[in-house]
Amino acid sequence: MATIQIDNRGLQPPEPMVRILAALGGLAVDDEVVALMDREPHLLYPELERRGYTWEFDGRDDAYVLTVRRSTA
Amino acid sequence: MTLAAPGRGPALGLVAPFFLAAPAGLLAAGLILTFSNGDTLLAINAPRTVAATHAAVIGWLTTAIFGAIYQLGPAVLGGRLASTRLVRIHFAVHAGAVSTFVWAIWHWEVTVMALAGLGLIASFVLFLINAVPAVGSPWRGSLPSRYLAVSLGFIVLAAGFGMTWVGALEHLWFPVTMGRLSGHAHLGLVGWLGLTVMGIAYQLIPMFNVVQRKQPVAGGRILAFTALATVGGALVLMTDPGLWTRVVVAVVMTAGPAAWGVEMLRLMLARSRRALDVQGRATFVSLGFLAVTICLGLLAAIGETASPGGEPARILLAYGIAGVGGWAGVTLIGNSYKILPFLVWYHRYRQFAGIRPVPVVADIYSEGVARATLAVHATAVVVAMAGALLGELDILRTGGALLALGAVIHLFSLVHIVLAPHAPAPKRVRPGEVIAR
Repeated sequence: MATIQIDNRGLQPPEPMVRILAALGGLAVDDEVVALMDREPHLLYPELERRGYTWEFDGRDDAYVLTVRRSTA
Repeated sequence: MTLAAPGRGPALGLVAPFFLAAPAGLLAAGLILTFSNGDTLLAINAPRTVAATHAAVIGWLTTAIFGAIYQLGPAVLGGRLASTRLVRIHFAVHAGAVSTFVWAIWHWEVTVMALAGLGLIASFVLFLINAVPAVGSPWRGSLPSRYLAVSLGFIVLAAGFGMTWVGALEHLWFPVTMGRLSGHAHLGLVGWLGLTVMGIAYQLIPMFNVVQRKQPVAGGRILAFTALATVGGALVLMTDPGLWTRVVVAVVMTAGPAAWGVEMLRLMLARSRRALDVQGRATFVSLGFLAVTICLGLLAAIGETASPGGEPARILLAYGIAGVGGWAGVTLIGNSYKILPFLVWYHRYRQFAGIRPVPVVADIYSEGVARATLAVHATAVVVAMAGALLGELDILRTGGALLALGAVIHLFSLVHIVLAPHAPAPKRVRPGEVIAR
């Protein structure tokens, strides 16, 4: 299992979305993309769903973290 | 960990018409001011002044805000639209009602004004059917969501009193005094426009200027205070109060927007993205216009003794131009060059992101044209304000013509954003850089 880490802080929309979607291209089944965000990327979710990925967003602390994995379903 | 629900934005064809039609309202307001006559500087309730105000407020700003709420509600605030078909019907009803209403005020055709006013009420009802579930509750949710929910109540109040005043003009129920007009105007300008501008800023300023280190600290209290002060202040104004009551009302009504302005300035100064694009520049310029609006509002409350030439109409006109064209208008122009390009990107290029090179937002609009539009519009507002304060009709008309010019540039640039094909900008290569091996 490999983790691709992306720091998306300080970027204007839609650059965080573009970088996450680009990183997902080479993702194997057990791999994950972990992205540091400035805010919750609501508009990314439909695209992740359409491309067959699942995601979790942790917005409790100062550093927001989005974790994306390939859907096993 | 929280598992978030996916956001769903409406189709581009649903919201883009609102953004593209809105500059026509600014164009109409500019042209009306261009052809204003001496009455404009003598009475704030002169037909052309009232027509220009409604063209700007409900033709330009409100139309664009409708589009923004239809987009932000479902896509960002977690709400939903009750019916996309109603959105299309709403656009047609609103466009027809506004243009007829403004024409009727210009020609002071009270019966047509009343009929078009009913069309406007229908437009607002159609809007609220979708907007209420789209923005959510005023008591919980994010700051933008709560501001927008409260502002929806003000559109009901402003339209309700406005229609009552039109009925009074037609059937002579009671005199429509300056105080009653002022109360209606402030419900619309501070309650509806002001709270909407303030709420959307809490969403877009941190997003596009990348504010990470500071959070809003007083947004909820500012909302509650501004809403209560606006309702109370407008009702007091409708009684045509004396000098000191007017001054107290003015101080109370301006306190909320002033505190919000300080909060936005604090956020902007803490931004991570130091280079200012059109949206960032517009934010600073609009905050400057807010300060001018507050000063002029306080002077207008004093009345004749604080008015240049002893003509209260002149300072009231300058106050309206600063608030509508300056604060709200500059904010709208700056944000439209972010919202619309982002919508185009999202609906046209999102599905290809990560698969092939796609343009980014900066490739979809011209920063130079956007800055030129902002410069022409801001200059127009300053010139029109100067014309009003100096009592110089030719300067006021020049300001009106510049407003119309800015509206045309704005309209064509927005149409280009939606219709033109876009390509990713070629990567810049520095001299000596190796680009392939």
